[in-house]
Amino acid sequence: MKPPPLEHVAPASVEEAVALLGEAGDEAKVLAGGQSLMPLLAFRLARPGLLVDLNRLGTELGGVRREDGGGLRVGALARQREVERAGLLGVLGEALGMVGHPAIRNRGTVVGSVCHADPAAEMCALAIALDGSLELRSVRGTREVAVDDLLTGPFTTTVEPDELAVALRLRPPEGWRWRVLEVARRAGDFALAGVVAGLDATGERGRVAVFGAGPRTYRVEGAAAGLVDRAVDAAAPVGDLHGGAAYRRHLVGVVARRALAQLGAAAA
Amino acid sequence: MREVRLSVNGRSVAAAVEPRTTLADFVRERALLTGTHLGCEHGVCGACTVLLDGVAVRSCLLLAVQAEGSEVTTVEALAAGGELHPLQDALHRHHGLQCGFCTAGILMSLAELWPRRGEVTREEIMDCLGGHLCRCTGYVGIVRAVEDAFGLGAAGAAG
Repeated sequence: MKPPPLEHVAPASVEEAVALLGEAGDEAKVLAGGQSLMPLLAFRLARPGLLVDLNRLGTELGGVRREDGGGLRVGALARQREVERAGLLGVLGEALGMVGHPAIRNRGTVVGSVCHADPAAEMCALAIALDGSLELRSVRGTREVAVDDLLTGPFTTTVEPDELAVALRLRPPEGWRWRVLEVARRAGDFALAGVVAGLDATGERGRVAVFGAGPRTYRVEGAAAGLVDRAVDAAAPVGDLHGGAAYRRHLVGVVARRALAQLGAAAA
Repeated sequence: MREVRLSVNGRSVAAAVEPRTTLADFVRERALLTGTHLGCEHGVCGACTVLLDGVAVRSCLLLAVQAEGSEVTTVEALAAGGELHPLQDALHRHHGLQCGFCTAGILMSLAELWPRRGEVTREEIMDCLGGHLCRCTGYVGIVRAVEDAFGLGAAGAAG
């Protein structure tokens, strides 16, 4: 339960961090909050030769702020707790309240959670629901990619080893209202199933991003009527000792229905 | 090996450690303060919680090299001058511990909230306790102690 031998470097600028990743490639792992990476190291599930530690880059990578057009920009080093307390977006704060425990959120980052791509993580679902994208920087340049296009499977994304996620952009569509609901055995656990659900101002169109019920977080959208069924149909949960596949699939329907009902959907 | 210098409970501690050394191991084996306990070593149990620059963190999920130049506060700092901290005193009086393994971590999580007592809500305190595994007490004594120390009262006066 101790991390394997590794080198650690804490670059003094984003430029330096990106250069280090460019040299080391898949030998390196980015260390931000460390709340997912450190357990992986302790279990020896990850054995990077080098940790590129972002924690000295608070000035460049910290903070959360509103952008023109109603969007939100969350820096790679913005701690979950800080974003939760900033209160810039209700559903984001609500979802963060379900992530781990306070001491975990004191260190953990929103961007790190998205990059970790746990299929049961709230942050990936929130990012997908709110048209989120990651700004990825490497020595080759900068690209902005929708989170929905980055997730490929459990804990896997198309972020290249030499790329650094510098920020997450969320673009909640105007006039929509959101709700996040999940079922977990204990506070702070990963969800057995959960949803980030949204309805537009007319209540006729909606979205449901589902987590904990498939190899990756996914989203269904369109007419509010039938949205729950479409969310359940798209579920591909794998049973484990915490809950069987059929039960998790059932939960998707329950939480999706409840969330949409709370938002005032007529009959979802 | 890397030379790491940080302050633990106001005392400067320097040691040459491997980069993979966790802050928890640094505190226990280099600062020789074994009040910080190691349970799961992957962030679940909360036993190793310390304050890093006043903020509660899992010391098993942090490398010592990351804490370079920081101020770390451990459970040993609470009973300054031999007097129990009000949180310790409350846990003692309400039988909020049995084996005591989880207690140091619980105390340090609560210590982060302590300066805001009076304004911190019951919900926030329970959320904080939720991050700690205790296998002895069933939490009843812990919750009573916390209600007493934070002045929540049975009616939940502070929220």
